[in-house]
Amino acid sequence: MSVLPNDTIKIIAESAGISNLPDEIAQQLASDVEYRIREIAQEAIKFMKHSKRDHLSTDDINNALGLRNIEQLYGYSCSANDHSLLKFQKTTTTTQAIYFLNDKEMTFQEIASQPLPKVPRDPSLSAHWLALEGVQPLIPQNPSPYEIEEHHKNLHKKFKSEKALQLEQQAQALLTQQNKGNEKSGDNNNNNNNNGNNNNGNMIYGMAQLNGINTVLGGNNLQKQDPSIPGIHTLPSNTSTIVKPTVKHVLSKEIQMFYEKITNSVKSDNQKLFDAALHSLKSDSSLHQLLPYFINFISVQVTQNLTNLELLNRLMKMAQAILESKHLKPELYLHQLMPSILTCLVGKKLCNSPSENHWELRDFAARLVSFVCRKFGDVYSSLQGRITKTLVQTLHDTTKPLTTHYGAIVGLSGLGRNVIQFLLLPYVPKYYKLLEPELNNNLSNPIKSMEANRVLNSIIDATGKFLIWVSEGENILSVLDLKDDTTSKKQPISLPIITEFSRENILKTLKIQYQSLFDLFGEKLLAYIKPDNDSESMILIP
Amino acid sequence: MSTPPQQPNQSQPTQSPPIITTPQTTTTTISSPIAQTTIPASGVGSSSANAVTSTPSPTTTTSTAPSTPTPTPTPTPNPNTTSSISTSTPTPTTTTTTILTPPLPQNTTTPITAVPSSASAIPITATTTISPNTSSNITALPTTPTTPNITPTTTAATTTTTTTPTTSSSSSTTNAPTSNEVKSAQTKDKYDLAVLNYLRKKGYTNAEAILKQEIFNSSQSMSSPISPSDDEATNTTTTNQTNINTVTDNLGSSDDQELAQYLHMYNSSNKGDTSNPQNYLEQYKKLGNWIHSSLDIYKNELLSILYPVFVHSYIDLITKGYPQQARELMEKIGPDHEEYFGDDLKLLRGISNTDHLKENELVDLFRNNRWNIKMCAYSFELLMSFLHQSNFILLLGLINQYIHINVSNLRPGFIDDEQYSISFQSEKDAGDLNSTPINYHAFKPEFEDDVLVQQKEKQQLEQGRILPLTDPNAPLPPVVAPPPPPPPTSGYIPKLKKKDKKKKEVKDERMSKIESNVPIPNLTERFENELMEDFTKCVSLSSSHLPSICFYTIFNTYQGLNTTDISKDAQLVAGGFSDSSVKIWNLKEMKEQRLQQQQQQQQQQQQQQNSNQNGYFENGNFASSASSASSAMNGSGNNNENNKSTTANNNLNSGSSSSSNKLQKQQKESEFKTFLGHSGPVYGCSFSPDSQYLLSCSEDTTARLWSMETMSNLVCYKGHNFPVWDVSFSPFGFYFATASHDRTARLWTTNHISPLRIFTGHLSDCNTVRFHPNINYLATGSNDKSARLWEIQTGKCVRIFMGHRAPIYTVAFSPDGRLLATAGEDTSVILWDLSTGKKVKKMDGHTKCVYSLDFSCDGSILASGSSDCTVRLWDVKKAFNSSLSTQPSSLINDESRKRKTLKSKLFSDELLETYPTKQTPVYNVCFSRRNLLLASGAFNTLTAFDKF
Repeated sequence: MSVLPNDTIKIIAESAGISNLPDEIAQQLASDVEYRIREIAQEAIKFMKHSKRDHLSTDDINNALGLRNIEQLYGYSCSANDHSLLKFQKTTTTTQAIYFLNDKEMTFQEIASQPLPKVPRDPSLSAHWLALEGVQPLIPQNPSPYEIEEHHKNLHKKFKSEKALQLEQQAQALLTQQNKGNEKSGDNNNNNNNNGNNNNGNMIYGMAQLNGINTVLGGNNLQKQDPSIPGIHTLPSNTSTIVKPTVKHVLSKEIQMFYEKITNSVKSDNQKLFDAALHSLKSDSSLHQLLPYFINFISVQVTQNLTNLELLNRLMKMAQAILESKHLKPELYLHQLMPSILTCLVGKKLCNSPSENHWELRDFAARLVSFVCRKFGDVYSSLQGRITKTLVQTLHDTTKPLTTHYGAIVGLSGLGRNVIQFLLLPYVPKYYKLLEPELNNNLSNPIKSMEANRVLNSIIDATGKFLIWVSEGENILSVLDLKDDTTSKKQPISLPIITEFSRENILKTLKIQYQSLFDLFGEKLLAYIKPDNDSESMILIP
Repeated sequence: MSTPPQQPNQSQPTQSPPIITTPQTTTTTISSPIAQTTIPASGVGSSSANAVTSTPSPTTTTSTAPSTPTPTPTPTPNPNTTSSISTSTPTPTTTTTTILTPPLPQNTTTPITAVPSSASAIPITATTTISPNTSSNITALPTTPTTPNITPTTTAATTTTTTTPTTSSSSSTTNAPTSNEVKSAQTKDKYDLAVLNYLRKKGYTNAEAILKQEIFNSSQSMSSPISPSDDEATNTTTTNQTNINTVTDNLGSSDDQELAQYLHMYNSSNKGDTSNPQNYLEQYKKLGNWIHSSLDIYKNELLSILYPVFVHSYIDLITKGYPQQARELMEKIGPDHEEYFGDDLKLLRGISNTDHLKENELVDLFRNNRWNIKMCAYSFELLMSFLHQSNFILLLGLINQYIHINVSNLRPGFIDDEQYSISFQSEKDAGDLNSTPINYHAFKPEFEDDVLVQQKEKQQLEQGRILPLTDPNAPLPPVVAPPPPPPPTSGYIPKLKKKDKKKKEVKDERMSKIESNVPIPNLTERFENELMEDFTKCVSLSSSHLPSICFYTIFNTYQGLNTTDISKDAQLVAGGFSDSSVKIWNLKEMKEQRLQQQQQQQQQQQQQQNSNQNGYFENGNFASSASSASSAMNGSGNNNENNKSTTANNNLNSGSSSSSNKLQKQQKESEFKTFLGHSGPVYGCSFSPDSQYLLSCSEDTTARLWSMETMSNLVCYKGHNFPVWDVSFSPFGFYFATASHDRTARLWTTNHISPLRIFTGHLSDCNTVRFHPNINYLATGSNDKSARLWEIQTGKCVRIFMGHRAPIYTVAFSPDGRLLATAGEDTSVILWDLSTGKKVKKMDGHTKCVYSLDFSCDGSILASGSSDCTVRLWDVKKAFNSSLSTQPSSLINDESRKRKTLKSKLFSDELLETYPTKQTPVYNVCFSRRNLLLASGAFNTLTAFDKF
């Protein structure tokens, strides 16, 4: 009948001195006791809510009893430690489960012999910033962004699961209702059979009335079942659409604000703010979530602002900061980042007017490319090969403008001496022939002549880099080895054996080896060869 | 010629039983008509009236045929009746003779010629005919009723079944001329049913056949019987209207109900009471099936009626003495409503006795107040037609008696917002209250006028308007200022005198300036200067400029902290505890002492000094970056000050751990001050605006006033009979209000120990109370899931806000006085417009009970603190604008509505930001006068922000 069993009431009655309590009285008392307990619990919950707690305590029960003008319970009102809240334990007897409090029985001697417990500490107040101008600072008193993110994920998961369960329950309820409808129609048939058995005239009339009512209800049931069928069809489609929504990457608002600040600083003219942003990108350790967004930002801005030289410069510096960061892993997104850098390197037109210095941007981009190849070449083995191939193709394409050729030359020169030796230098004489007419047309097209001079200087710089390396004392032997192989076939006796390293000797050998280059550039290359002051002391005997 | 011979045939069998006068037969005949008359009282009356009307017509025709037929019946009714009585005795003898003679055609010819002859030979033939008639009747009765009874009952049943759906279908139409026809048809149906029942029981098969033929004839020709039936119908409808209070004005439905009640009475008399309790469950299930199988447009509206019908069915079963069926109903149907109404169901499950019903509060709410539901007209018609077709009399009674359906002219699908609105208030009363005008404009004190010179002109205009308000001020002084009683302490007398003097000054000086109807004492110069300074240094906030939040965490409370409050100047923090104590932390003193400790540490160890300095510089850099980000220079100064003090506190907190025991003792002694005086847990505390006084309220039914200067208890206010849940100072002090478990809120002044006003009207506990910025109104939130607005001068309720699904634990006014924010246990925050009393926006985002709400000083941002350990900021302007934009939108797609519901349940668009703490539920959020948000809570290891 009620939640409380009759046996409990009987046991309580026996403890009160009443034996052999009848079942009916026990049943009545059980329902009444249940109601009283619920009433007290309702009042106690009000006190709990106003104390801003989630757990009901004995103090709440005592306050509720006080409201009803009932004597309160006495004993320990609360435990000193929050962790050791009183908990019910469960044991199962033959008939039912019994819950009880695991209270210890202590003697007075034990209590007297125990030392006094610690005095609870006094309440203390401490203050911290929960937010500063809308941003939550990362201090120990505040939770970390990781915890916040996990909280949001759990919240979304819980919501989705609850929603799916609700829809399933609704569908099941509709199915069960249909089954019940069918059962009801069966009952009506039974009633019709029963009607025939009655012989009494009055009852016949009464049951005839019921027959009429039942037939009307039956018709309604039939009418109802028809529209419910499409309802069931619609619900599964709804559940399928709702249960599998697209999963979105959730960013907390602090991170979104940070992203907006970084991007706005890149777009704005404030240099200090931009420097601070770059420093943050290099050194902050919690920006890995924003990395794809930053790289996407760079690629979008580069494609949209190809003539805004100032913005392109800042974007490349931003890319440098990302690439130099220790905490971020940009190698995972290089396939998105490299097109932007290469665009800044070999783009046709990177400024509004030719007078602007877009050459610096190309030089900077070239340094970035070389940095990427050095840092991520091991992880991404095909990276340098693909870049080299792209740049060589760009250089050999005569339809490209001179600015693009400049970028290609600068890029290739930054990729190492082997690239210069085997891919760039053999092409220089041929390219000089193409370039020579532009160099002499100062009067007709001064801009293009200036560009041609820029390209020429880049070629000289590239060649100079190689000669500097070759002019080192230790590296000359490789050149000699090559020379020996070639000359041994043709003229083995013509070249003398070098017994001393000196400026004149080195110059002679280089002139012989790279006669065409010296013919083209003449004395300009001499500046890249080291003086021979220290090399005189070195003597090698082959 | 055909109709007159049929009528005397009708009259003859009715008159035949009294003449057959053997003593045994007379007793049987007497008992049977009594039983018949009791069952349908109206039917018997109508049948007898028809009999009386039918008998005089043939007699008049027979008697007056030779002389003058037309003029004689109208002028002389009395002789006709006497003549009918005289003629009634001989006619049954002739009928008996006709029955004895078997050939039918002879019978038809003989009654005309036999009438005068039988009159002359009365005594002779009577003696001879009595004995054979009785013998023939005895032999005839057992054979005839068996076989003919079966066939006419089936035909009668078929006719009744065919007629009832037609009447129900016709009742759905609301045309007036058709309703008249419906009335006449229904009355005929009732009459025919009653007569057929009577004839069937008596076994007169021929009469039944004749009556059926007459039904067809009367249905064909509607003209002649219309007038008397209309008269009867009008009489019955007038009586029914007075008896039955139907929601609809549809006359067809009332007639249908009458017919249904007739059938119900007949059925109930036959069946008995044993099957009644099952009807509640069966009818509820069928109603639920019908609603769930209906179209989605109407489904949302119709679903709202299921819960009240369920609850009242449960209560009816218990009142009628069927606890087992009630429990069965609860077990089967209860889980369907567990999600939204779990708290109510817990209380209802415990009820199993009529005594429990009388004592329970919730049952009183359900029985004494009508549940309000909104429906469009079409949904309402669908519901009523279904109930009438199915003859769900029990549910119809419940709906008519306990549920108020507000039928609107909107299209279906526009009442989704009210889908689960719960209210025990009468919709009419709420509508009337919500339409009363309110002067909700903000109060303008003097210091703002001094600062803003341009507004003086506007104020002069307002002065002209305010002048008529001085008249209502006149009756107030005798009420507000009674002679003060002797105070408990002798030192209290001069303060009272001073305040009395101030009152007089206030009346003289500010009569023309103050817009408030309630007199306010004069503010001290220091307080005015503070207000002026704070007003100038206030930081402007918006959705793009969010406030800074300073959080005060109270440790080592052992779940004993019930309430906290922070003073407006951010210098004092108060906490009310379960051990009946109030503790005050003075932040200024704490700061000074920690600076001293820092100096000592620097003297002791240089290395620590260096590290501290480095930390301080880092914090300084952080503060400078924060200040650079702020737009207002004055505000940045304020933030710097607060930031430095809090960072100093943080540093000193870490430093204090390494200090010596002596320093610890000193620190403990000076950290907080304890106020003892209450004899029960403290549930509310409130600082006065000038931070000179503190009010606290307790479970011991009292509120106490504490002084910050003397650190002692000044006054104890008694007046409530039950625990006091909340106390709140008015915006400028002097007045305060309390909310209590006794369902009332009371208005007090600090210099008087008895309440000035008692605001009654809530149906359950008052959980919270808050003053309006202009001090003319008071808002209360209650356990009955509604918030009310009270006028302080008259003590009346002027607004009722219904829309929450759970008790309300906090309310807040916007600074301009136009908006009210409410929140509570259902985790949603609702904005209300005070001028119209309507809901502006419902904002979701919290996952647990909301403990506190507050608006920023410029009213653009609303802050909320919750048990889910988060402080959330809401965009008030966006909410207000979005509510305006949604109203004129004409059509809403179903898909978009579903998406909205999905989205709105999780987070609302107005949620600007969420700031979680680790393990500290947020007990209190309040904006200081410089728009710095101050929040506080008790550290609790049992909960965290990521626990659900």
